[in-house]
Order: sequence, then structure tokens, then C-alpha cells
Amino acid sequence: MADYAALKQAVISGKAAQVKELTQKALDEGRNPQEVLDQGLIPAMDIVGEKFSCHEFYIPEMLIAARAMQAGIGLLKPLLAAAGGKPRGKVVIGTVKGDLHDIGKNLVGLMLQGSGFEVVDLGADVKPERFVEAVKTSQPHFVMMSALLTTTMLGMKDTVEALKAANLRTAVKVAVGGAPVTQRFCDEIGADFYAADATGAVTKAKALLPA
Amino acid sequence: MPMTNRERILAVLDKRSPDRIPWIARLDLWYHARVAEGNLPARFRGMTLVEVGRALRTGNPARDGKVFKVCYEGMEVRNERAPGVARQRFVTPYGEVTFGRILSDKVSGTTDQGLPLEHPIHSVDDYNVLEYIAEHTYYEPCYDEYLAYETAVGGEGYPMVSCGDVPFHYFLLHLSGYNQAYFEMVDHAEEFEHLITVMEQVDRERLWPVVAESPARLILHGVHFDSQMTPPHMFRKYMTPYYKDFSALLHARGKSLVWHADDDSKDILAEVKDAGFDMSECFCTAPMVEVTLEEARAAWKGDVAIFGGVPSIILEPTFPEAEFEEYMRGVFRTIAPGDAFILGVADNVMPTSLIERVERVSDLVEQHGAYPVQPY
Repeated sequence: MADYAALKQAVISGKAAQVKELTQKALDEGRNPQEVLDQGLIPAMDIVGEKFSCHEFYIPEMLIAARAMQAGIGLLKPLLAAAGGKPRGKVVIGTVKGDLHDIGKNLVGLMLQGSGFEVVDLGADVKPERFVEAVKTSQPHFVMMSALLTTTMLGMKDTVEALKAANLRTAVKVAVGGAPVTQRFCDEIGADFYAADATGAVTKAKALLPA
Repeated sequence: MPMTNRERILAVLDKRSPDRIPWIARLDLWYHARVAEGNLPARFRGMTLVEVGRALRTGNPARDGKVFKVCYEGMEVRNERAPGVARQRFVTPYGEVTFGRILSDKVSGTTDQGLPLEHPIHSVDDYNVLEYIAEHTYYEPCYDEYLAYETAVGGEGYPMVSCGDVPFHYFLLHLSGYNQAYFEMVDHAEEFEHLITVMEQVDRERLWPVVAESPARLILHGVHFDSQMTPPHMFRKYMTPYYKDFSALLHARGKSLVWHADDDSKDILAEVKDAGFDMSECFCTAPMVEVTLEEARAAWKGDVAIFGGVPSIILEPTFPEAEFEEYMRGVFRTIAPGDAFILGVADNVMPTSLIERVERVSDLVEQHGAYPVQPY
């Protein structure tokens, strides 16, 4: 019998080896990979997100839990793909041009994956044209950009403008975040939403997904 | 006769009242970028950084003082420089490790500041190399150099001497990088704990005495502590014991312990105070981070002086003029009557900042900064 309570606890505690073992055990018992994802891994990351929101968890715990979750996802991903399963949504993420800070961006990516999104991670120091190219090739629901510096956050505006110039602005929702970024800045540059942290980004992305 | 900035800072450190709040803006990023790009405003052309600060009526941050030089024995240290990148390679009997930094194209060639590009820990074997480096690191006093610097700074500021970081945070920041460091703490817990214990012992035996016996008073130790990256439980476990002992040693010799507070400190305000810090320098506030000046003043009262309060984002053209004015009004309201406070930009006047706003802050300090500060 698949022990989803134990699987969830293993993710929350950041025990990657145990997550892998319990995920494999559930699959060996004939559980549907989607069920393992929906009843084991995703609810675990939801709890991690809640703990983060109430300052019971901080980024270290989030990262360790997200890595543990990835140990399970790694087993499920090929099976889900083979079964024709579709991700909840697709997101292109990156830290903007001139900015090498990627912790926040990585965390958003991990949390999105933990919530069933497919993530195309462009890395750090991403030029607007690379975002545009990724939107063309990956056709995501969202472009999410991160910046840590006041000097680099204007790269978000450049990317929004580049998407407009490529007639792609309405094809995706654009999200922005990072220490100096605010809702007002988001509004000024014409992005669709701002999130203060990784859990906020996931929550808003879920809410904005087409029905 | 008005006090000098030096006298004002010393008054703040001694918990006396200065004639007015000190106002010291870090202009180095703005200045070097403008010089490099050839767009320093005409009225500043030909001026040094200190002269520009003087023209803007802000004090000298005086952050270049040194009281020791770091020496390594029993290893070869190779410093390599390529455009935009600096690497330091340590060749030891236990193997090699490399620290790499990428230099901002705005400041490359003018400063050694840079973001970590390559961390030395790639495998568990690297811990032995780093332990060897720690055990063979020595600190050679250069007090005369400090005294010459202090004389050169004169009344325009008070030198703050950078003296390193607590081993735990040095591990996060420089040895492994934040992401990987948390995994290392889980995957190689024993090696991690052993390494930071060795590093701490070396600090206590070799670094601390050199700093404690130095002529410097303002000891900057620790940078970028953050609510999220050095959360309260980790701060208490790995940083508080170190800083309680270090601050006690410094206090016994009339020195002040300062940390560079340019990240969010909302959840670690109590820990900073408990650790014995006397000042939070480049103290960054909302809207750049979560913590507000009000929260910090309430938590620290007069025990931890604040040097900051002007987040650099409010100097940006994207920040509306009226809101900048309101923000500054709020700063003066919050800090009144002005105890334990040095007004500064957190953490730097950025290359894109409106320099007119720096001058406007200078005006505000002259108009409303006299002690006791009255909200306006």
C-alpha cells in the first residue's frame, strides 16, 4: 500500500533518498504515476510553501525539500511523459541580463516543478532576445523574470518591450520578482504580475492558468 | 563650530549626541561607473571620489582601512586576472582549489569587488584542502598603514576596517555558494562541521588578537546576513556563539562591531542584537527588502546603531519624486530624536541613481538633521 503520508513527510524533511525509495515503492505497487505526483509530491510541496509563508521554513529548508521532491519527480517524469500526461503549465524563467543572482529564480523553478509545471530555465544573465526565442520555441504560459539589483531590473522592461516587438506579448503572461522589484514597477513596465516570493509566484501562476 | 563627520560618528558610537545626524553616502559605484562611461556630470569632472563626496556634502565612508595582511604558508597562491574575471588558485599538498569572481563591467579594473563565479568546493575531498588553507593562514598586523589611512581620512569620516566573516557564513558565501552550501550541510555534515570548527579556531587564535590589538575602532565583520539565507535558527546555532565572544573581546578594548546589512534582516533583528553587534552598516530597508526602519529601531533601540536608512532604489529615476520626498520625511520621523543613527545609502548610490537626490538629502540633513531631530 503506497504510503503517501510518509512520502509527504520525507519531502518536507528534505530526505531525498527516502523520497526516491517511497516513490519507487509506490510505482512498484502499480500506482499510477500521476496519482503519486498528485497525492504524494505536490501536496508535500504545498505544505512546504505554507511553512515558508508562515516563516516556519526559510530558503534552506525550501531548497532541501525541493531537491528531495526532485528525487521523486525524476522517477515519475519519464512515466508521465510516456503515458501522455501533460504538465499543469509551462514556464520560461531566467534572471535578467547583467544579473548573476539565481537563488530566487532557482527556487521559483523548483517550486513550480513541485506544483506540476514544466520549467524551461534559461539561467542567469539572460538577454531579452533569449527570452523571446524561448517563448517562440517553448510556447510557455508564463515568462518569469528575476533581478536582484536596481541596475539590472530594467532588463525586465527591455524584455517586455522585446516580446511586444516580436508580437508575442499577448501569447504569455509575464511575471517579475526579486528584491528591488515591486508591484508598482511591475505595473510600470507592463508585466502581468509580481510575486514577492516563490510560493507567491506559484500561487499566482496557478490562478492565472487558462481553465 | 560644527562637528566633523568623524566627531559625529564617534559621538554615535559613544552614545552621545552629535550636533546633527551624520550623513555619509557610498558613491564609489556611481563614481567609478560614471568615470568609466565618461559621463560624470561636468561639475564633477577632474574630481576624485572624495572630492565629489565633499561637493555633494556627504562624508567619506572610509571603508579602505586595513589592520592586517593575510599571509599563507606552505602553499602556492596564484592570482590570475582575465577581462572581467579574477581567480585565486591555492595549490596545497592536499590538492588545489580555486576561488573565482566575476567583475562587474561597470567597475572592472577599479575595484576588486565582484560576484562569486566559482566556489572551491566541488567534492568532499576539497574540505581537506580548505582545512589545510585555514590552518596555514596568518594575519600580519599593518597598523601603521591603518594609522596613515585614518590621518588621510581626517575629519570627513571614520575608518571602518573590514575583518572577515563568521566561518559559517563564509562557507555559504565563498566556499560553496548559497544553494549548494545547504546541500553540503546535509550531504557532508561531518566535513562541514569540522571545517567551520577549524576555521573558527584559527580566527580565535590568530585573527581576533590582531584585530583586538589594532588601533582601529570600527570593526566590520560579516556581510549580507539575511532573514532567508541565514535564518534565525542557523544564525543562533552557527553565528551567535562566535559573535558573542568576538564582540565581548572587542568591547573590552573599546571597539565596536559592525556588520554590512544590505540584505533583509526582518527575521534576524533579535539575533543581531543578541550577538553583540554595535552597528548595522549599509542598513537596507523597505521597499528594497522587507524590514522597515521602524521595525529595526523598535527592535534595536539604541543598542545597535543604524548606518543607512536610504535604500538606493529611492534614488532611481523610476521612483517618483513625491514619494522620494515622503520617504525621506518618514526617515526623519522615524529616527527622531536621532540617537544611534547615521544616515547613509544602502548599500550604494548606484550608477543610475539621480545624483540630485543625494544633494537633496544633504539639504534635508542641513535643514532638519540638527540634534534632537524634529520631524518636519
